[in-house]
Amino acid sequence: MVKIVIDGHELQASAGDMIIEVADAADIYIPRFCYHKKLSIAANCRMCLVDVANNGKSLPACATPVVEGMQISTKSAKALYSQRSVMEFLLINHPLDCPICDQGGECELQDLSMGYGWDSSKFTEEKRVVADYNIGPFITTNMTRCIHCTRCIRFGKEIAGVQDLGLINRGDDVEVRTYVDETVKSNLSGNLIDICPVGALNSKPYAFQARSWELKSTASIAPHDCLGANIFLHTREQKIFRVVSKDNQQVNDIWLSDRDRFSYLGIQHSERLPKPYFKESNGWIEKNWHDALTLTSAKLKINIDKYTPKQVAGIISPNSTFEELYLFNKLIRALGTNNIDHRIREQDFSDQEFQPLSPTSMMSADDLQTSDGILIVGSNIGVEQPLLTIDIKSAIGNGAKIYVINPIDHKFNFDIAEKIIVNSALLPQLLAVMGQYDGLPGELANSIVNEARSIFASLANCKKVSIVTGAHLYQHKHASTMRVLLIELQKQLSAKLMYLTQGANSTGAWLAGCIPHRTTAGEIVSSNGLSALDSFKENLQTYILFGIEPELDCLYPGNAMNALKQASLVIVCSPYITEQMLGYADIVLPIATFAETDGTYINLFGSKQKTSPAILPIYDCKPGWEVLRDLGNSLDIAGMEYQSNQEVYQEVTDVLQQTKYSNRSNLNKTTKSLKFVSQSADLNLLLEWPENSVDCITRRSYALQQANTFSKPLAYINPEDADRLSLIDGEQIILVQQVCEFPLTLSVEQYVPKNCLYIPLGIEATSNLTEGKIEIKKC
Amino acid sequence: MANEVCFRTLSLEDPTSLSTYESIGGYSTWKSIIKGELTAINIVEELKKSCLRGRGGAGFPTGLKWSFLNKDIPGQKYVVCNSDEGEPGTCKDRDIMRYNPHQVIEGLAIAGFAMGADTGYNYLRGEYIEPFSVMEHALGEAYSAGLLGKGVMGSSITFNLYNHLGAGSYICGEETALLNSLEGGRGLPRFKPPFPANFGLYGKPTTVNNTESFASVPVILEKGAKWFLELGTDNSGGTKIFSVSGHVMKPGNFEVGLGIPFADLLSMAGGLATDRTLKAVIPGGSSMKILAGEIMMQVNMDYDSLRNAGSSLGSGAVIIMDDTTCMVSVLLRLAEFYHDESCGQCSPCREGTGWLVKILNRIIKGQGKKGDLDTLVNIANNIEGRTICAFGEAVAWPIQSFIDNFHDEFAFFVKEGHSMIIN
Ligand SMILES: Cc1cc2nc3c(=O)[nH]c(=O)nc-3n(C[C@H](O)[C@H](O)[C@H](O)COP(=O)(O)O)c2cc1C
Ligand code: SF4
Ligand code: FES
Repeated sequence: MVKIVIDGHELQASAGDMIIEVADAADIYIPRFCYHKKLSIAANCRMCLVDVANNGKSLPACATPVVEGMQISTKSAKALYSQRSVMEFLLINHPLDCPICDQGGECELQDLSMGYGWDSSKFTEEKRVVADYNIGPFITTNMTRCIHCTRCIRFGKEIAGVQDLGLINRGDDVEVRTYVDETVKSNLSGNLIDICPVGALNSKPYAFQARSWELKSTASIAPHDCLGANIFLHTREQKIFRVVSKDNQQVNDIWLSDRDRFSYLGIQHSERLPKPYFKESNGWIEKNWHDALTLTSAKLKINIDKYTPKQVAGIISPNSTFEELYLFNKLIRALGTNNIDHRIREQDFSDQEFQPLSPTSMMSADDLQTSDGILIVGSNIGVEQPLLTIDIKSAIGNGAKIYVINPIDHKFNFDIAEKIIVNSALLPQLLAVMGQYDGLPGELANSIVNEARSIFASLANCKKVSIVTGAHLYQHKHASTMRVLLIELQKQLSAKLMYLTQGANSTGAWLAGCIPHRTTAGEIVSSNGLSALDSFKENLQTYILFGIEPELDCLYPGNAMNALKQASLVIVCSPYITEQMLGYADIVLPIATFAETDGTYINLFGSKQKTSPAILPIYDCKPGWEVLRDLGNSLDIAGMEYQSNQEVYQEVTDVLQQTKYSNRSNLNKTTKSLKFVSQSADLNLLLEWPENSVDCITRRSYALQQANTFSKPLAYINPEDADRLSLIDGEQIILVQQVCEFPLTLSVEQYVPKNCLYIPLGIEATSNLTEGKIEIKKC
Repeated sequence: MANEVCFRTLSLEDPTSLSTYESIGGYSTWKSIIKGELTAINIVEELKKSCLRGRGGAGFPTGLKWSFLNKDIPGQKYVVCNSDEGEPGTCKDRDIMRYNPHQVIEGLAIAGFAMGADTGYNYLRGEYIEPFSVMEHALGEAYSAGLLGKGVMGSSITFNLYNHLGAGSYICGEETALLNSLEGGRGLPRFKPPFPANFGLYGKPTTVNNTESFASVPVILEKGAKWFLELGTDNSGGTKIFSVSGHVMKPGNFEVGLGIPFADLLSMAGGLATDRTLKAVIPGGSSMKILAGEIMMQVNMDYDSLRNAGSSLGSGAVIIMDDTTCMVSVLLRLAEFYHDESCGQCSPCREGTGWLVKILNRIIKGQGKKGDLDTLVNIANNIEGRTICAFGEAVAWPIQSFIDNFHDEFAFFVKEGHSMIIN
């Protein structure tokens, strides 16, 4: 520690800290532009010049380390003169077009020029003009306003891991731009809007929409992935204008993914369902809520009486709030069935009895950052959880090595030490090899076995290992086997496990009881109900769907569609209405989105995060919890008389506290009986959701759709398979299944492993896909 | 006496060849190092005694600089030769490389040994295609003769040297911009500290010296510090190559003892044309302050004398201007150069250089305004001392000194809309 003096205040600081950090900690403000606490130091704007005793020149506070006895003045005549003269330079070529600039009112240049500028400029020459360019659907460029602080460039390199922007030219011809005319590709690019201190990089969807000071700010959560980034929704009257990041060290830090930032554009979409509707003999009839609820419960009762409660299944979106999940559980169980599930993207549930209370990760974001070895198993993490890649990058910055085991060679925005890419059918065997498990079919090439052992050896040498697993694992046909093996591996490496779960609230769903084998707080049920997939395969009579569009949200959407079309009663609670829905539904009840209601989301680290309504529910929508409560009441279900969502929350929390849950995750017993299924000669399906089509809201954000990846109606295969099947890139093909066939365009890609057919779900073209054999037919 | 140090092969037949160089004692120091007859401490002490000061412009004592990189501290280190030679008026490094390439190579090898660096780079400005090929040829000869490489002549000494051609940018002569450029990045100066001695090329301890500095070293060690020192003055040891240009009859490079009276240097360069009088001189490259002719005629060409006269020896480029010179035009030309060459990262330099040019251009077009001269000086003052690298000073000094020394001429132009000088 050293003692220094800033503006007369004696301060303690660690030697080597920069003056600006020490001053910030002591609440002494030094003006700055290029300095940003999350980025490396550039010291190029020169705005932070301060007066340090015994130094002729003013020194940049952002780049001058403190030393014992340093005497600093941030407001002496000399310091102020330096700051003002720099401000004058920054303003001479700045257009000062604040009245037509969206940054106006929240512009660092505007603010600082008030505090640190002269009231007039000596500059009377012509100003510089710089061309703008199109960098994609999220960001407007007004490069004449750029002050060349290079924050955006450093952000690209250091945080996003994709260097889209850079400098070209020299001197005052210098321009910040993409090197070749291209769009910015990072899925964290929206942060550039926050990072840019001036109006050079601004939000495109928000352009010319509102002034920052007119907007009301509501703290909320972005419920599109299991991290639940903290956001502020900015509204005026009943319209959402934009989303900005809310600082939370434990979750998203100061960053947001583009998905979280621009999903709001889907909320006030024209497909919003305005009122309850009923399918009657003469078509769809609009109802008021009172009639809708009475009629719904009457129809439900009739169907249950006629077909028994076992013919009812309730399937809820894993993006629902904790309260909705709890009420849904209460409602469905009260109907006399255990057919309830939220695991719409899973197909192997054989280990469910052994699973812990919830799939919450054993670790925090901090654990990830401080790991020195990270193993990623079955996850396109950059798409599933874009923000976690920032933590991974910071781990790498601290010397961590990253190892990847994946069924497809995903591109990551961080450096990988070693990776093994195998056909997804071989993933379980690969994990078994790593964990020294024997009794395998021996289908892995020797080279792969050796690589796996070498990765294991490297990880065994690490002090702190994290294993991260995601969608390629939980969607897998043999997910249970892999989960068991992962726990083995985790024990052998004394590692921590991180599950990137489906939706925003898987943990909440498990705790609330939206699973067929346990009810709230893990309480065992008398007889297990059907999983989501099984309930579709069983073709039941009655389905109650909450917040999902099965044709786009479920793993085998074709199975869901077939079941729904033959059912005699399909009740859909949804914020949106679509053609397809009108085809299979009998009753549609409009519910609010996350922006219109309050609720709780439990993220992958187990933190309970609350939203509050930023706008009123639009049209006649009701918050989901109210719909479930009212339905419960009109069905005369006991204990559904809640006055507020808070009461629901209180009740579920009480239940959780009162239940003594014994950990059932004793998986050791099961390892001995693992069965490994050999890779078949058929093409192995590998399915993935496009990053911006993960739920009904993101799918309706026009900006997100413009930037979507992997959402074209394409089927991807390896060049060798293409040769074998005499297919060529770009060719029209038909995928044939037992009950359906659908056309796609073939894309031949080296990154797809052999014997694999890789296709997107969540798009219309594949919404008929059913479980089972699939073949490629030439057109 | 002239051409005794860097230009010592100039008068010989086939001056660039290895045999010519060896015939006058070249590589004898390097060979005694290889034989273990000379230690790093000997070398650094000898350089300190010789009073060799950096020939790149700042005049930092070379021996002292070399002592910052301790040979015995393990780890990768680098020596880098700055042959970017961008300072307007300067063309001496070019001729050293064209006529005495081996001496540069030997200087770098000795430096590598003295500081424990097994790798050296010679960074040449992009336009130096001819010097580059001469250097490449000489490097080939040195390798063939077993003078460079791994375990030179069976010893434990390793030294590898690479010539690298830049892409033509003045700022890449600033040592940290040079390092960034050498690494393949943009030539942007780095903020210091950390200095290259701690964090240099690829983040490793690095010493950067000018070509002439390196090329002086072998001779100093062959002939002794005393011999070298006595070629010059007390605080300015040795010889210096002056690139004399402008209004002289025989412009060229002259390697002479430091301390030579300017008047003598002027006559070596053939003096002025008849009927002309000396108006002004920039004595150390365009970034140094301009001095009036009368003052220059009284000054000796060494570090201290020029400092006392209000300017600096800089890179040794002496730009002579006679009475037909319009100072406003010259300043505009210089300002345009700095505007073109600013790297653009720091606000005062990026914005200030453009502003200066805009005002000077207006004045030249006859649209000068009252207050313009004050604004020019104020802009220069506001750039000076507020930038990442010394380019800021390089811009400010000409502006300040031109307007200070020739204020009437500038005021006349602003007021009348045309130059005072009628040719
Ligand atoms: C803008 C600028 C340009 C420079 N250009 C050169 C150059 O072309 N050649 C050179 O040797 N030094 C140049 N320098 C000085 C170098 O930064 C460095 O001080 C020098 O190479 C050190 O070598 P020396 O100690 O042998 O002089 C320049 C400095 C600045 C600020
Ligand atoms: S002073 Fe000029 S040249 Fe030097 S770093 Fe700053 S902008 Fe670049
Ligand atoms: S904030 Fe310190 S130089 Fe920009």
